Amino acid sequence: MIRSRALAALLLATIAAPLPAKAADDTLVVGTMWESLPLNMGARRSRFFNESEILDTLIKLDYDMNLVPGLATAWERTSPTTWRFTLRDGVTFHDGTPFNAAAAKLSLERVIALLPYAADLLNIETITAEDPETLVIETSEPFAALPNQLTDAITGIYAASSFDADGKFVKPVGTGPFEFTEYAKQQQTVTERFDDYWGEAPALEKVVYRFIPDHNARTIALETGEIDLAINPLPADVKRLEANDDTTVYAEPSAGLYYGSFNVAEDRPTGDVRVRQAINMMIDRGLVVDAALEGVGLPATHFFSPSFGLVPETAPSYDYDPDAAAALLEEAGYAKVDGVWQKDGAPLTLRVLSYPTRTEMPLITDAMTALLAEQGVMSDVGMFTFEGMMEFVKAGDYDIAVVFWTPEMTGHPDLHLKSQFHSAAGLNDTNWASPVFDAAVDKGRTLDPGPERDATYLEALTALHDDAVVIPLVHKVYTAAARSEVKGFRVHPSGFFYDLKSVSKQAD
Amino acid sequence: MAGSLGELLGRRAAYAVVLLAALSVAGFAILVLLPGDVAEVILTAEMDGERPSAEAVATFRATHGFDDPLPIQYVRWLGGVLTGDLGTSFATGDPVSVELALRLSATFTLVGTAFVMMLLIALPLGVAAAVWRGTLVDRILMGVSVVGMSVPNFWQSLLFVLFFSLMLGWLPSSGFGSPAHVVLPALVIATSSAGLVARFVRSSLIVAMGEPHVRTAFAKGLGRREVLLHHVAPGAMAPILTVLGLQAARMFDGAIVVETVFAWPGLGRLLVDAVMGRDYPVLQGALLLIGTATILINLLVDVAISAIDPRIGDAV
Repeated sequence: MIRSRALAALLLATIAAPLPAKAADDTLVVGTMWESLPLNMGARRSRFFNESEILDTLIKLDYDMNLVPGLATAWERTSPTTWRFTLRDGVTFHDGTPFNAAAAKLSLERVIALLPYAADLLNIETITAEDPETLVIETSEPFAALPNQLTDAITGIYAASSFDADGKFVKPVGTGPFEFTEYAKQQQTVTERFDDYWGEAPALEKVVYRFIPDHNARTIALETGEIDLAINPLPADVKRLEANDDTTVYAEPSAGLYYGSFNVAEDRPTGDVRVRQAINMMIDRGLVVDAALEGVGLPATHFFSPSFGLVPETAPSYDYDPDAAAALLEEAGYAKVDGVWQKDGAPLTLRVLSYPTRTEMPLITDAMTALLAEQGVMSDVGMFTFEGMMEFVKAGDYDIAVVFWTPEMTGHPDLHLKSQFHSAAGLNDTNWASPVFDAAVDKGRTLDPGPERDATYLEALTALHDDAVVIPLVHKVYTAAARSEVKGFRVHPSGFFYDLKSVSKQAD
Repeated sequence: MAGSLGELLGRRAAYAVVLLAALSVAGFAILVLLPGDVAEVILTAEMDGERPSAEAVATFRATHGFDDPLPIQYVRWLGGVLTGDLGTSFATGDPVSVELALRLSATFTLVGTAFVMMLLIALPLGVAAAVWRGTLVDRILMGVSVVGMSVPNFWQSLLFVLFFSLMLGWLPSSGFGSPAHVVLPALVIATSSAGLVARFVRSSLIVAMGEPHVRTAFAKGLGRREVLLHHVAPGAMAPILTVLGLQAARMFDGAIVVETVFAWPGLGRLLVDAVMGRDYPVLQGALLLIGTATILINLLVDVAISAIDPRIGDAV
């Protein structure tokens, strides 16, 4: 009896001892769904360095997607292919070396050499350090979008000590308010406040990025207080977290778009523009947002959202109109038999593809196909890994691919329109080729902001709209949830920037 | 006797070598058979998902030897594998061997702990149910064991987290790195196996208790504890051990879901992530590791069994 009581006490002691400790007041623990990989500079993952503000970019985007100074305080286009940047004075890297034009040149050249994506993004011919505070960049063609492209997180400025003697990446050393200090594989990455930061010093002493891939587990960790901030909670959990007094939900609409991309090849039913237009008119986007995302999203009518500032209110869009859709299908030779659209005795059945690794994707796809079925258009849905889906897409074995795209990495339309819909673009699997669109997009990137540029891009967007190449579904609302004692947090619409400088922890 | 055992060992080892060779071919074939052109997949991974041009892919194929005949590519790849070079993970940029080492130790920590917990739960329950067979105690215990067996690991994981982490605040809800982190995931895996094992312990004991020598022992007037320990247990042991072996293997399967929920960086989750992300080098490495381990363990078991029991040795 005594022995078993001792055993129970021992058991209790072992269970009770490692209470999940709450982080100190000056430490913020962030739960992330992707693992941050600070010792690797792979293109997509190096965005973390800017996201966590280890690195600064030359130019930044504010919360309204305007260009604001980063390490460059002013910029000017002195000829169609020349850009002059005035750099911030008195900035030091985390290793104590000074930041200047030579350092910026070295960093950008390394990034371009190591990441092919950066070369495509920036279009840079030469970089010259004219004097310590002046950086001159020659682009390989007239390129007005350069300042915007330089906000892309992968263009963050690295100190020379981020690379070894052979130019290989070692670890991120930057100028940002937080300094990289520790990485435990599959577990966490730690950054600490950099006291010589050029801007206002952050309130937090330390930020821990804990990797919790499971969405439910991440939310629960927030509820238990093991983490202070959870990135990207499930839409289904948002209501519960809002109702909880201990947690606060932050949301920021973005221009990120879930959309169906049509295969316009002639041998597909979607090869007929009337069918594509009819499908666009059959779907009530508001219902998709409510049914698939519990209201966490914005109905989409254009490839760019209103917040992107590119689409005027007068731009044409396809609104929900089942009667007009039915008329278009009849014109295209379809007849409705027993509630199902048919042609030559065969029902109109669309091959719809998507991928479930992005949580919202299958939900949105299901909502879309359900609404189509209600109107008499059948679907044969295939869910694959993204790359698996792309195999079918590349082979042309599909009618609609439901995908996601975020134009807010740079805040400029060039990258997004050109890479996806230009007839010469590698990512264009729609089989759509429009000389009008190509010409407008090729011209748009050379033009400075102003009416001519806006008119040119409107021309491109109108071509995209008239041929109904895509079906815009939902603009993403980025969400994060924090413990109530976390103050000063705001979700950046790019989804690539935590901005923890102004965040602090104070109990109410 | 010694000669035939040596002969058997040799024959078994030869089988194993043939199997390992077949496994290596299958591992290599992943690159050829899975959807997509490897060169394009690697370049796409390097370019942040942007599709490389056809010329870039052609250059990459030529410079990296993807245009060579398959047997030559296979031999070159095998040479790398044998010298410990399993390639580099697309997802993390780390050597595959580093990835595997971390995941292997994490999985063994989890499953090892779960196995011990399972024994601590299942053995007392099974013995109690057998001893009090047919009573209310037996029926309650066996009812509980069915629940343990039937609840899906995924759901049970979330229930445990809600109860132990959120309500009681005793244990961390996910992650790894301290001993406390292993308790909940291990408990989930343990309870899913404990029900079955407890039932098996009970039935094996009951069968063993019906044996004539046990009745004789009781008839001699020995105490129940004495009979159970010295007369029943030895007879029941062999079938129980067999089931325990099978359950240990099953636990590795069950660990996959649990590893995901608890953010535990085990081998199962590595395999799932590698498939989902088309991280071919990791996929190859994990399959080679799991396949090789299975072949070697089977070899050991075969040899051990035939060494212990010559009748089985003759039969192989």
